[in-house]
Amino acid sequence: MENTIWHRLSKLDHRIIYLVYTIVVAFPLIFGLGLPLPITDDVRAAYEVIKGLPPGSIMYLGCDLGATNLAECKPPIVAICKFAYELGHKIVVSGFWVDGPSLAYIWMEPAMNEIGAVYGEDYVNLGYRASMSSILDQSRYSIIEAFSDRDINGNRLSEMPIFQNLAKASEFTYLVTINPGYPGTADYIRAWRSTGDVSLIIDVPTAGMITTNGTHLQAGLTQGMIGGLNGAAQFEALIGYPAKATASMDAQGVGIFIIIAFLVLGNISFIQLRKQNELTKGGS
Amino acid sequence: MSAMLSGWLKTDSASRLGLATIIFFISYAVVVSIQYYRATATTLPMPKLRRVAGLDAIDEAIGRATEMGRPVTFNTGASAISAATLAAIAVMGYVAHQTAKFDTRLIVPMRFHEVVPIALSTIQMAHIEVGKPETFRPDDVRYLSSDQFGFTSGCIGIIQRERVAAQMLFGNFVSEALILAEEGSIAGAMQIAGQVNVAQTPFLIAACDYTLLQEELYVASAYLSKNRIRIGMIAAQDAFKLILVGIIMVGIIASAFGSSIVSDLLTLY
Amino acid sequence: MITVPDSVVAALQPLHVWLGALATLGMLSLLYRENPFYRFCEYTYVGSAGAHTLVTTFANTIKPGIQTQMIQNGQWWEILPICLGLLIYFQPVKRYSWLSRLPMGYWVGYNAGYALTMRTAMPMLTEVRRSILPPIVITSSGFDLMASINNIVFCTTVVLVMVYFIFSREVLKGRAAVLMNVSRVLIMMALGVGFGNGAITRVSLLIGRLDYLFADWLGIY
Repeated sequence: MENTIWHRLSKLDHRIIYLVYTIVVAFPLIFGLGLPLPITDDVRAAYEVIKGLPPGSIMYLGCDLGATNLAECKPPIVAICKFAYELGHKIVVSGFWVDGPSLAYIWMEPAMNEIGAVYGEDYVNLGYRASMSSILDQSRYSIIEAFSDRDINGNRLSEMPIFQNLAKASEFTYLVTINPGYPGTADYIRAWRSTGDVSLIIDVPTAGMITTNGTHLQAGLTQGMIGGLNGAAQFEALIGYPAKATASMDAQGVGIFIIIAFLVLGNISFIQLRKQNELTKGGS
Repeated sequence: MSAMLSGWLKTDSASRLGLATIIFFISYAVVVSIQYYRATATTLPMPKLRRVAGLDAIDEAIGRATEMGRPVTFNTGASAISAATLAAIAVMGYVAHQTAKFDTRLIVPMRFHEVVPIALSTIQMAHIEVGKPETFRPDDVRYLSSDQFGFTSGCIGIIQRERVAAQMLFGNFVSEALILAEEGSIAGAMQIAGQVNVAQTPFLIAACDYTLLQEELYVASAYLSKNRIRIGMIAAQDAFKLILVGIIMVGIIASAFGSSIVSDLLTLY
Repeated sequence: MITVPDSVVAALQPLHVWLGALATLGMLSLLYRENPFYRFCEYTYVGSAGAHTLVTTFANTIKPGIQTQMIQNGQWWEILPICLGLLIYFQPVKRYSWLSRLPMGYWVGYNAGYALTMRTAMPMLTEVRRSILPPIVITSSGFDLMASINNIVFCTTVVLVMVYFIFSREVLKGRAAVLMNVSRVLIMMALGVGFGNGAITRVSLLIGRLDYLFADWLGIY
């Protein structure tokens, strides 16, 4: 009884599972499989909202994320910024996670330089600030004062062309929040949507937060959602800019398939072992 | 009446918003006041809270750790000061009380410095209550890092090195939830979790021995602290939930007959 | 802010990639077993994250606050909240540790007050409004069966799950109590969806690291 395949499977060293999993995910990453990528309504809605806004619109990009979220957050940041710039929108970046704005700065700079965007005129990074609620609340009256008139590099905001037509939060045309948790979408809704300052919000959560943030979308508190790496790949497809997210989709598909396979195998093993135990007990 | 109602529905969004806010807070204040009165008037019976599965397991986990002579860790989650964190700290008060009683070590890793003084005073108070102030070890409340995964990897280190026998995860957790629970599971710790984040609850259900679902965390904090006001507030929330359920049901019935009156009344912008 | 010349940044790029790759391998080595290499990476990460928080908070919040608001704009009264905040450092001093409770009390009070405004009410009322859906959907082309089923399932789920989280009174009694089990099943289904999405995030994290190792470090593709 002890040597059945199910018994051996239940005792399988987890390191073997990690190794098998890594090899299987790495294969499509290197060679690519060309799996199809359907576009969901949530991502299309986000795309349509941004596309429908006139040139000169101002986007607030909330980068509340950490270094670990690179895989899921860098592709949508780059794609959204490129798309917004091409549409003639201005971009104001900030964040209330310590790493967020610094990472956004590192990721955005090459992409924005490549398309010829000018810092201070087309986009600006306000950097990290402590105390989200008070900063966002103060921004409803004066962004420059809330951010102490300094950007991430210590430059004066009041001297930048972008701030000549931007004084308070209600002058942001739309808000894009990129976040893997808290503080995140719910906090922006509380700070600016509930008060009527910003009524267009595009939510860009990590895949793990899609279920939670879906309630905001269903309630109409956000107008579109680009969820996880898959959402980013769909957005890249819609704007015709296939990049990292698109390249990772095959690996993600295979990775999910392997998880399902492990789940099925694990459950069959569990049921079989329970049956065997019952038989043993009944026999004794 | 209907003319008044339709007149109000046509008013601009700002005044409607103001009126809706006032109605909302007055009704909430009435419900809370009634329950507060019930809670403070000791002659009145307290509402009985439904027993939440998993609470008995807290004592079991502490007992196990005591027998093994290994520590218990209590994690208050990824929120600074919030309702979930304060509820978690109330549960921590009970855990600290029990661990102090049985001379079991309680390690509390912290992500937010704001929570550290509250945790310290809660644990110190528990030690004083059981008459063992000298066994309080402030060093066991450890601020690790405000960075999500800096904190998480610090917690993993503690679980591995201290060979914890029990891990309690109460509060609001985000993506570190599974990592912590998985690590505790590998270390063979008995794990109890109470979590308000819907996205992460399933991981805790899969990896922990007992998991409290969403608002059961607040019930647990009221139940364990046996605080009349906390229990009263749970009853107030329940009353308010019933009002909302009523509004939704009336709205659904009205909409079945083609009327959107309830939805219109709730339209703010 | 110190500006590093682009040439220096470019020269340091390979070192940056190598450090990132070694740290990734160090952290992943925990999957095999706890080891000194992992421990070194863990301590380095915790330490550097703490230092980064300190430096960034100082450079982006404290410094501009003092430099711009107080010195340039002459808002010297802002020294008062700074002093209130500094009281927190009395925590380790036994005799005066009570002083550290003052900023904490202010902070808890501020957040509680902040939440008790339209900020909490508006999302909740909006969600309640959007939970009211007609159980019978009639469109221009007639009765829409699928939309009707969707709405009925949605509304039933909302009501049953809300009732499940009522703890101080028995709403569903007698035979209706079986609906509590239905609520639990519905909650578990929602959590199952969350589990799936969470698993996808883990796959994405792994993909991100593998992409870094293969593309940026080894240059395979």
